[in-house]
Amino acid sequence: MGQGRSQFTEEELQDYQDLTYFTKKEVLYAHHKFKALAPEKVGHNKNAKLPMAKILQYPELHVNPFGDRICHIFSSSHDGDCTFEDFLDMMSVFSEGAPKAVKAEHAFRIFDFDGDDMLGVTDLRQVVNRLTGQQRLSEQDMQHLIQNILDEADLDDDGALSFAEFEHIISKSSDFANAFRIRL
Amino acid sequence: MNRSSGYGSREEVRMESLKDAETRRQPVSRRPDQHRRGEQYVAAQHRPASRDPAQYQFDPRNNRSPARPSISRSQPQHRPTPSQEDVIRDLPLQNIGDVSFREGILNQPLLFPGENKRLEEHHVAQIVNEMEQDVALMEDNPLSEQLRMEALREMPESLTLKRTVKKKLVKSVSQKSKRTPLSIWKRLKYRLSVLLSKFSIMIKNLLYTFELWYSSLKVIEGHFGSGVATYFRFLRWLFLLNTVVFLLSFGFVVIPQLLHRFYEPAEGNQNGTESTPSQMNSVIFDSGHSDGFLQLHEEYNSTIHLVTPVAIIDNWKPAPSVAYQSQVRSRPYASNADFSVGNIFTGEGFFTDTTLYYGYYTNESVSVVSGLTYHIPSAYFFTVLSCYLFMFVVLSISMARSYRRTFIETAGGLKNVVTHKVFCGWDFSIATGEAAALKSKSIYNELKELLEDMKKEDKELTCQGKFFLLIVRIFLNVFIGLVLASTGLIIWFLLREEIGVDEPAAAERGAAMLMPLIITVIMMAAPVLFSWMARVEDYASPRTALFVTLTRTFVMEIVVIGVVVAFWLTFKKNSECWETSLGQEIYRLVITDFLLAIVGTSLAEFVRFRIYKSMWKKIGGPEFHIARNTLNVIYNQTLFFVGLYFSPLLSFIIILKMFITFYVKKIGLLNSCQPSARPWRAAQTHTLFLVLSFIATLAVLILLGYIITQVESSSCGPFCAHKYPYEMILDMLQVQENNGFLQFVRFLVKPGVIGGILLAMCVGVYFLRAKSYEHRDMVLLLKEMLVLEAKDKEFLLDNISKVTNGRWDFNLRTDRSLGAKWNLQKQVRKRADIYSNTLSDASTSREYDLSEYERPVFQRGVRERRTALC
Repeated sequence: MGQGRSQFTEEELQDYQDLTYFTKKEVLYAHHKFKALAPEKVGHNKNAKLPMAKILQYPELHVNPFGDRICHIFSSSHDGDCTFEDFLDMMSVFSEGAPKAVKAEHAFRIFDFDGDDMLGVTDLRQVVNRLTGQQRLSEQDMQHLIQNILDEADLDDDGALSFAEFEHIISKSSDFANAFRIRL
Repeated sequence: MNRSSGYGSREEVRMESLKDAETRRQPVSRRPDQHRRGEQYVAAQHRPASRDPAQYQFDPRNNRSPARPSISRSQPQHRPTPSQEDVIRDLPLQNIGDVSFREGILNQPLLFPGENKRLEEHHVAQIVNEMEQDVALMEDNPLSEQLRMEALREMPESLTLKRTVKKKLVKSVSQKSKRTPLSIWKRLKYRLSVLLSKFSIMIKNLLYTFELWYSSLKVIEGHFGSGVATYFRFLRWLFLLNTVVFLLSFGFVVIPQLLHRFYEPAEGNQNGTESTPSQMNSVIFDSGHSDGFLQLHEEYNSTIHLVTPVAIIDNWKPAPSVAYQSQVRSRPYASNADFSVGNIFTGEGFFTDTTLYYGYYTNESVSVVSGLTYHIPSAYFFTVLSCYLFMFVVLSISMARSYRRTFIETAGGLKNVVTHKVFCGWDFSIATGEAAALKSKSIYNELKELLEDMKKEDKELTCQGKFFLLIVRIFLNVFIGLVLASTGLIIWFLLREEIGVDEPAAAERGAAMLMPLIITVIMMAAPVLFSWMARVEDYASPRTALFVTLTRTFVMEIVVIGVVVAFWLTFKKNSECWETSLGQEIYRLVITDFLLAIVGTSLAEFVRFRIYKSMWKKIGGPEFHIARNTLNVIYNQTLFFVGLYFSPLLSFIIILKMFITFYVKKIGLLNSCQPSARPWRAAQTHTLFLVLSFIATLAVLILLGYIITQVESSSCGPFCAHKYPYEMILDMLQVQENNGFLQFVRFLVKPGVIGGILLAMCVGVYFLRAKSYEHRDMVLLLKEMLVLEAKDKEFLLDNISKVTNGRWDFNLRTDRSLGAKWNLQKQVRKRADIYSNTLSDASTSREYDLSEYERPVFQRGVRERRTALC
C-alpha cells in the first residue's frame, strides 16, 4: 500500500478524501488495485486512462452482468474507458460509506440502458436477461414478470419507472445497500 | 458530520413527497436541515431544463419522448426527486440558469473533443455559479466547508469535474470572505469542529488499518456472496464485543486477583472481622517477594510447619471446615491439583482453584502500593455488572437500529417481491465466475418459482386440506413441547447423576463429560429436526418456515441452559461452591460445543466433500447453513452471558474459541462447501438474530438480578462475607435499612409496580400500533389517488393529442357507456363547444358532430388556445 504514496501529492489525497467516501489510506489502496490492472501504464501516469476491457478485469466487474454499464456510467469520457479518478469514484459509490440514495441514483443509471431517464419495458427486459445469464425466461414468463414489476412499482401507471418510483421501491428494500456493494 | 441523520431526513422528505401529493406544494425549507442544502443545489443544477416539475409525474410522454435519446451519455445529469423539485420550484429564476442554453447542451448528441471540453468547462462554471448563490455553503468557516464537501460528494459527477469545482469554490470563498476578526467563541467553535472532523477521519483511518479479517471476508464474499458473509460478520462483531468484555474483566478483576494472590499476606484483612494483627504479617512479609511467599505457601500446604512464626500459621490456619464460617477469605490458596489433559475438557481438577472461576476470588482488598487499596469484591461486582450492561446496551442499540432499517423504514418488509428480486437480485460483491454462474441460475430459478407461485395463488386450499394442516401443526407443536420437556428432564437427571445427589459414588465415575456431550448433540440435532418439521407444516413462505425453525431452536437453547442453571440453584448445597460448579458446567458446554459443533461438523463436511468428489456423487456436496451456524454462535454467546458472572476468564476462552471458529469455518467453507443455490435474505434475518441475542441477554440479566438479590451466596468467592451478593454494595455504601433511596428501589421492584409499568408499556405499544395501521391505510388511499389522478391526466392528454391530430370523434353515441370517462369527455367537449361557437358559426356543432369541413377551423382554435396557454 505504501508505495503508492509517492505518486500523489498531499493536496490530491486531501481532495480525494473530501470528495469520496474513502479515507486517504483507502484511496491509496484503491490506486494500488487500479495499478494492478495495468502496472506499467499506471506506473508512468498515475491517472492513466485504461480501456474498458482492462477495467473489466477487476474481478467483481468481470463477472458482473452489468460490468460494461458500470464502466459507461462512471467513465468521464462516456465511452467506458476509465481514469483512476473515475475508478475511484466507482469504488466510492460501491463502498460501504455511500448512502443509499447515492447508490440508488447510480443503480438507476446502470439499469437505464437506453438513457431515456425512464426504466421502460425494454430496459427491464434487458436487466432480467442479463441477470439470468445463460438461462432465458420464456417470452410469456418475461411478459408476466415485467407486468408484475410494473404493477408493483409503477405508481402513476405510465408503463415505465421514473427515478422517483425506482428510488421509492429501493428505499423499501432492506437488502439493496448490502447487495449494491463492492469491497475495495 | 452526522451523515446518517441527514440521510434519514432526506428519506422522510422523499417518502412524504411520494405519499402525499399535497405536501409537495410546500417548500422543503421548512425543514431546518443544513445538510441537505448543498444537495438541493446539486439538484437544481442538474435538473434537465426541459423537465417542468409540474409535468414531471403526470406527463410521462414528454419524459419518454425520443427527443433526447443521448442525454445521459453526452451529459451527466440528475433526475429530480420530488423533494428536489420543491427546491427547484422555490429557487429564484436565475438560479435555474439559462434554460435555452442548457437545452442546447442537452440536445447535442455528438460532441467533438474540443467542444466537449468547452462544454465541460461551462458545466463546471454553472455548478460553481449555483453553489455560490447559497450563503450557507459559501461562508469561510469549517462548518460550511464541510457542507460544501458533502454537497459535492453526493453529486453524480465525475471526480475530475468535482475537483475543478472544488478548486474554483475555494478560490471564490477566499475572495469573498471579509476577513472580519472572529469572536473568541466562534474561533473556539470552529477549532473544535475542525478537530472533531479530523479526529473522526483519523479514527476511520485507524479502523481501516485494523479492520479485522478484511481480506478473509472479501474472499468469502467473492466466492459465496454476501449471504454467507453475514454469518462471518456477525461472528466478528460478537468477537469484538467479547474482546471488550474480556479486556474489562481481565484488567479490573483478574489482574488484581493475581496481584492479591502474590501479595496477599502483605495487606491483611481490611474488612475482615478476624483480629489477626496486620503488623505481624507485615513484619514477616516486609520484603513482599512473591518467591518467598510461594515457598512458604508450599511449605504450608505440605503441612510442615517449620520455624515460621506463629502469627503466620495463625493467618493461614483456618482448616477448610472452619473457613467456610469465617468472614475472611474462606480458603487459603491451596496448591492446585495436578494438571491432566482431561482437565482441559472438564474444567475441573487443576482449573478449579484458578482465576477461571468465581470461587477463587477473594473478598479482601489488594494493596500493592501502600496506602492504596483495591477492594476486589466491589471490583468484581461492578466490572461484571458493567460488562453485562455494556453488552446489553450495545445489543439493544444495534438491534433497534437494524430493526428500524429493515422493518420500519421499509414499511414492514417485502411487499414488492418481484421488483426487489430484479433490482436487488445481483450481489455485486461476487467475484468468481463460478459464483456468478450460480447466482444467475439461482436468480433464474427464483423468478421462475415466483411466477409459478403467482399463477397458483388463486388456488385456495380446500376446507379439508386446511383442517388437515391445522391438525398437523397442532400435533407438531405439542410434539415439540414434549421434546423440550423431555430434554429438560433428561438433563436434570443427568446432572443429578453427575453430582451424585442420590449416590455420591457416582460422581467419581467421570460422568462429568457425559452431560455436556449429550446437550451438545441435542443442540446439533434440534435444528435439523425442527427444519424438517417446518417442512411438514407447509408454511406459505420459506421465510416464515425459517423464522419458526429459528425461534424453536432458540427456545430449545433457552430450555437447556435454563435447566442447567436451575439445577444448580436448587442443589447448591451439594457443592462446596456452587458458583464454581456452575461455572465449570458452562465451561464444559463451551468446550464440547467447540469440539463437536465446530471442529466436528467441519471435519464431517470435509469427509462428505471428499466422498462426494471421489466416489459418490449422489450424496451431494455439503452446503453452508447460515441459519444453523449463526444459531450456534448465539448459543455460544448465551452460554457466555450466563457464565461470565461465575467465571470472569470465560471471556478469554470465548474469544479464543471465536477466533479459532472463524478460521475453522472459513477453511471448511472455502475447501469443502458449495455455494448454496437458495437465496438468503440477509438483512431481515440478521435482525432476527440480533433480536434473539437480545432476548438472551435480557433473560440472563433478569436471572442475574435474581441470583444477586435472592440466592444465598456460598462460602466461597468474593461475596462470601454476605448472605446475598448485593448486600456487599449496601455495606460499601453504608446504606441503612430505612434509607429512603433503598426503600424506593424496593418499592420499584415490587411485582405490582413492575406489572403496572408493563401494562402501561403495553398500552403504549397498542396505541402506536393502531396508529401505524391507520397510517398504512392512509398510504394505500393516497396511492390509489395517485393512480387515479395519473389516469385522469393521461386520458386528458390523450384527448388533447387526438384533438390536435384532428382525429376527434364527437359522436357521443359511441362511447356513452363509460361513466367517469364520459364526464371528462363532457368537459373537453364543453370547451370544444365554446371554441366552435366563437370561431365558427356552425350550428351543427351543437349536436356534437363536427362535419368534415369544420374540422380545420376547430383545430386552429385549439392550437391557438394552446399557444395562449403556453
